[in-house]
Amino acid sequence: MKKLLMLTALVVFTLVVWVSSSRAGEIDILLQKLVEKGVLTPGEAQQIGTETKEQVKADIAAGKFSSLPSWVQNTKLKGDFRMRYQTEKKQSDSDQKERPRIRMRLGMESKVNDQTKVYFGLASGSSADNRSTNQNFANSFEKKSIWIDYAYVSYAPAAWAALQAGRMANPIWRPSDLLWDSDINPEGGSVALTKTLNPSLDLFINTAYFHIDEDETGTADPNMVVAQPGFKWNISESVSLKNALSYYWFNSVKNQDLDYEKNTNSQVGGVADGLLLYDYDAWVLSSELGIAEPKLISAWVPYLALFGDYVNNTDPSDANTGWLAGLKFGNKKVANFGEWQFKYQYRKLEKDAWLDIFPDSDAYGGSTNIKGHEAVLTYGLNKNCSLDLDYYVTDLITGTKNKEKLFQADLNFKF
Amino acid sequence: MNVLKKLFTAGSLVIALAAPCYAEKLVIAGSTTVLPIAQKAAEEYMNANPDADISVRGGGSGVGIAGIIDGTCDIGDASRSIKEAELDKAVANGKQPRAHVVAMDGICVIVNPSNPIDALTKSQVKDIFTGKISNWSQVGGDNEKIVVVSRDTSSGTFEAFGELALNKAKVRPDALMQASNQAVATTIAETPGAIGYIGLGYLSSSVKALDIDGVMPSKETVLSGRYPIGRPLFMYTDGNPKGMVKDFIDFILSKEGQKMVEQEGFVGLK
Repeated sequence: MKKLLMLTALVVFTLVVWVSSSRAGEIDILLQKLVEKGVLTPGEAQQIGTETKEQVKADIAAGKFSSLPSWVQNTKLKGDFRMRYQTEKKQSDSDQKERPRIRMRLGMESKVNDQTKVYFGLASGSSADNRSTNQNFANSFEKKSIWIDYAYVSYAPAAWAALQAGRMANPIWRPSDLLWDSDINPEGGSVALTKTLNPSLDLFINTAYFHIDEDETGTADPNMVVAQPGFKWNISESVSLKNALSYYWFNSVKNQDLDYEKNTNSQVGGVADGLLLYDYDAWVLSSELGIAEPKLISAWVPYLALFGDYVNNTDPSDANTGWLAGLKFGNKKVANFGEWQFKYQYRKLEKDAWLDIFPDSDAYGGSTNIKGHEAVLTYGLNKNCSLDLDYYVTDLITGTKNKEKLFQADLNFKF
Repeated sequence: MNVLKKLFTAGSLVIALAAPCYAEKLVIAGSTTVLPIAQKAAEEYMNANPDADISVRGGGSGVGIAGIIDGTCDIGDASRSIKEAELDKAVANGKQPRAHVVAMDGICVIVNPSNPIDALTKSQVKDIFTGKISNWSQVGGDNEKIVVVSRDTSSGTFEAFGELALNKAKVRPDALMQASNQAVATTIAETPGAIGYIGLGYLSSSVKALDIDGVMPSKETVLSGRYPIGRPLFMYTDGNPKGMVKDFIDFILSKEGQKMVEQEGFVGLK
């Protein structure tokens, strides 16, 4: 009998492979017939059918067979489209600015071999701005530009190590966008190492070298080196804590005039748009506490998290710190109809706490010397479709107060 | 020949004495739904094999599969199929996850026997348990308030019902939460307007199981996949199991092991 079962499993396996997954229903019919004829019990049919489909999935992942060319098997495409309506007004402005805009991104991941993958992505954008992929509706329907958003190679010699080089997805863990706008893809190289001490505790260290600019007149190219050791501790089945302490070394940044500055950092001689007065070597403490099914409120709130970042620039003695504290609750991820998440965060980023070429561009244009609130409601409209309502109220810390209110309504479609 | 016999006897004795020194350790982790099966099987297996050392823990299906990928466990329990991203990680790590179906999870929606309703659609079940439908008259029954009875949030049955019947939506906040399948059945048997859910193995004549989407829950309909609130339960290994791992899975799939699976409220494959 055991031989008969093995033979049936072999026949089913061959058929599943041969007819491809789109014909899997026919395999179920075959198994059902074998049950009706008394060759198999319903339990054996279930076991053979399910285990065979699982094995085929595993073999396809291992690249053992496929009717598709190998380059197609080894390549994945992904992308998203966002339709945004934005309003913004500073206290000093006479009118409210209204901006319909779109964002489109298309990314590709291609496996070179079992350890190496190449990533390549295109994105829209009104300019080459490092912090924006928005394309405004403007200029009599003129055609819009496409930019290289990222292009990098990732090499993972073991499950615990990954090396990346190129213009890459930011490898530094950030629970918030206080310091890094989520559209920034830094250029350079990185090494990420992880070590699982036990099922509850993972240690990690992310390190990176990023080349910020090219000094065409000399050899002092502005660059930065980051080391970010941290841990993720699953305190219980429902509570987890992730913490990291980062140190950023900036080199040849002092006395430079960098692209996409907001000129809110201190400038040499106090001019409006000059050379940077300080270095930006900084300590950053990042933390996120996640609670799944929080007691008493789990019927309404499936997930809750507290998160924050703190930064201290060691060069200046004044206006050199920043922090963000936030709370989010609802579904951990919004990917289906009816799922939702609400997020609130408060940020304060002093004038010389951090280089003003990096922070979230929607918070006062990405400047430093700011403080303010942000509230975001995300609601799932359908599978991979969501509505985001994002509201910022931000003001200057020092100088003449000039509060900015910014509202964004986004329709997001991921594919 | 005598010398050969003596040598064989001596050799057998040495092997028998040495065997306990090489007692294998088996680490099982993963799905909280599969946990009671793994725990009971480990207990029975260790009773029959006193030298066996089996450690069983929960953590969820993701933890079980991750344990196979990073090699921290020998058997990864899962109440869902392995994801594509997990398979990619496994391949990158030189692992070959192999699925073993050890049981089926079949959950019956039950009402008080006095309730005239015999059948519901899956969509109606979802609307009742999430609070959108609150009176039996809305599904063709008497004008009576619906009392929703659920398992407590720490139970694997609660998790499975949420995924299979409610599409991960939340049970209405005023539902009566019970600590066991038996407690749910007792509450339903004593409350005319109540509705709840239990594992197929706990069904008795004190309650009435409902037809869902035209299919009555039974061992046959769950095994054939026709009953909509059912799913296979897995134990994953790295490649084809060998040694004690194989022995343990064979034990669960044996007639005795499958009887134990049914005693835990699941649907056995035999």
